[in-house]
Amino acid sequence: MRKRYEDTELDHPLKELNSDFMWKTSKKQELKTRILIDIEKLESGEKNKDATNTKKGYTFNNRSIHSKRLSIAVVVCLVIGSTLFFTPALAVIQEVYDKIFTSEHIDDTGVRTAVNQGYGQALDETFYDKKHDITVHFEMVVMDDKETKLLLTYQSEQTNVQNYYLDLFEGDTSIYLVVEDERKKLKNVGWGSRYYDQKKNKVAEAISFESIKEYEGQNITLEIENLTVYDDNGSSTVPTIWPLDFTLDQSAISKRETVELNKDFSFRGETYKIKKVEFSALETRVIVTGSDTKIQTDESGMEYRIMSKLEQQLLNARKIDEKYGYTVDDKKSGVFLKSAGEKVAPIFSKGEVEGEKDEYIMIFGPVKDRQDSILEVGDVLKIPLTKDGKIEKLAEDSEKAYIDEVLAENGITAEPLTDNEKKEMDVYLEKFPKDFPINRTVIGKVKNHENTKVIEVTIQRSGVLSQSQALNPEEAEKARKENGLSFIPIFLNHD
Amino acid sequence: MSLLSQYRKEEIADWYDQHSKSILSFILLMVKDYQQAEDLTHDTFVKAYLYYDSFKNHSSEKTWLFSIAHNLTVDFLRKRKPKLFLKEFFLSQKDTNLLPEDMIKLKEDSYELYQALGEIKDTYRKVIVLRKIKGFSIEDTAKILNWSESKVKSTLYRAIPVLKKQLIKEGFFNEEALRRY
Repeated sequence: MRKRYEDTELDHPLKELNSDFMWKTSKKQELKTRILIDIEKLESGEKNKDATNTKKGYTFNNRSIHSKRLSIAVVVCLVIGSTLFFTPALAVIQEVYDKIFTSEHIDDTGVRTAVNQGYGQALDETFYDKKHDITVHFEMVVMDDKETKLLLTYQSEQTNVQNYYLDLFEGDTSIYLVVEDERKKLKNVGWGSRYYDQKKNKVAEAISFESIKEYEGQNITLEIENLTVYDDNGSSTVPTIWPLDFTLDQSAISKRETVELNKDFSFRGETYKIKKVEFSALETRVIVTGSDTKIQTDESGMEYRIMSKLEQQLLNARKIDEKYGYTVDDKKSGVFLKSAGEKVAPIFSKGEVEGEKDEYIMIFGPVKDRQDSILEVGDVLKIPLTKDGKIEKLAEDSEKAYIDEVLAENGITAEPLTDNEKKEMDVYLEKFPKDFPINRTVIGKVKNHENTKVIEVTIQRSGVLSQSQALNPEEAEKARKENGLSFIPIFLNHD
Repeated sequence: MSLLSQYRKEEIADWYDQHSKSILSFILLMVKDYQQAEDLTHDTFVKAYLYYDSFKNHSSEKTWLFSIAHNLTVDFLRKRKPKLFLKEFFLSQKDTNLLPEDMIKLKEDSYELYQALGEIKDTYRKVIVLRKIKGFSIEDTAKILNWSESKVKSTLYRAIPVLKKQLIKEGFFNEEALRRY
């Protein structure tokens, strides 16, 4: 279940603001008419620089209007979207048989794998919160040098705990470390995981906070302060303290192993370098820099990152489910690890962990064999995460290969234009509207286009293919003739 | 007009009926000038018509229309900046926030919030407007703004306290009043 991290007391007035705008109906209708007239004029070619009906007064020249008239015709347009990516059957994520973390609702695969592999210190401590009639059972603690995961359950006979959360990130819940006389608030790290069992009125939760490994061997107390309640009325707090006393054992702590790689590869025209890989019991981090991972600066001077092509590929296999949180979409390609023959999925809930400047961090579940770990990027690259392992290129990754793949998936074969067809295309493009130009280039034509309803084909760089179609082949041919084209053009859209 | 064009036009008209108010108010919150907001709304739908073939149907038409509106607004603000600098030199920012009541009205309760939003920086304003006012998901907000999802989350996380501070600074709310919501 995804937590409502962003809820604030301003939510209600902000939502009200949206509905509080009252736009005069006559103004709305007036603008609609203005838009439709301008569209009509674009089509009919009536509009010229002086014939602006708009108050704004921007214009479309005759040439572009004429082209629009020529460019489109016929009966109905179907936009058919399809993605580039193959759909390899992914290995099902291994189930974990821990007594509480068997549920698919726990979306941090790292915790599940760590527990399954026998990492962690069993706690088996119970605390009864008398005031709220909640029995808390601390199950286990496991950590590396970056984070601690505390696994616990809480249930009640009288209090409905369905909406009770231990939200360290945006809620009112905090966790403190008490050692001797010192009480220190621990920082939240990443996302936790939570599952509510309605039959038992019981919550199983893994909370995530900063590493406390330096307290190994010491008697410590962890205090969870306050519960956060999220319901239809917003958020509220249940004041309480749940203490846990224990001696932090070595078995709770997993060491992080860092392997410097500096391995270069390219993907979809971008170049990347795997700087290093970090292995721990809870996760595997692959730290990358690349031509599209660099920090950008927006118009107000604020720094930000764009989504790199590698990140797009990783997120392609992410499925968001209200009930189960982030899961893997088996039908889509992505970026995975393969270790000892087993597929290891990304921990999507750690997507917001940011690296150093210009770095992109991919975080996967822990691997079984650190010497036998391969990064698989879609169906095109296999990159061994060892210094000596050679990169295996499984398929051509050039733009042409990428385009051919998209076309093939849609049953289309491309061929180049003849000289005459190039001239037809020049005339056609020359007539296209210049005020709102579409940044596209013609890359060929559809082979064997007889008896097809298709008028034109457009491919986006993201791998989406769209087709303008008529109701039947006769109408499609008529439309192409109206456009002055004797073939079906294939455009590559650069926007 | 061909039947295909007619079909597109009808679809654009349908989208206009459904989303124009939301798009206009988004642009208005960004540019703080009703006439410009109306013109940019006009451009959004004309551009949607022209780019119809580029519409990726894996996002909703609303998300797509907002991306167009956002890009047009950013272009507009970029071009306007030098002029605005001079204007702001002579006029207070609040004056540019006034709404022409014969065209668009805002209930009194929300006016202070509208004013406060107008005072915070563009980046914060747009992420609050899309996530909190327009109710877009993180994924869709990232698509509209062409940001990474983590940027949406972290910017919103920073933006909300800035808005609260602005409301308090303007004397519209105090901490206690805010908690009542």
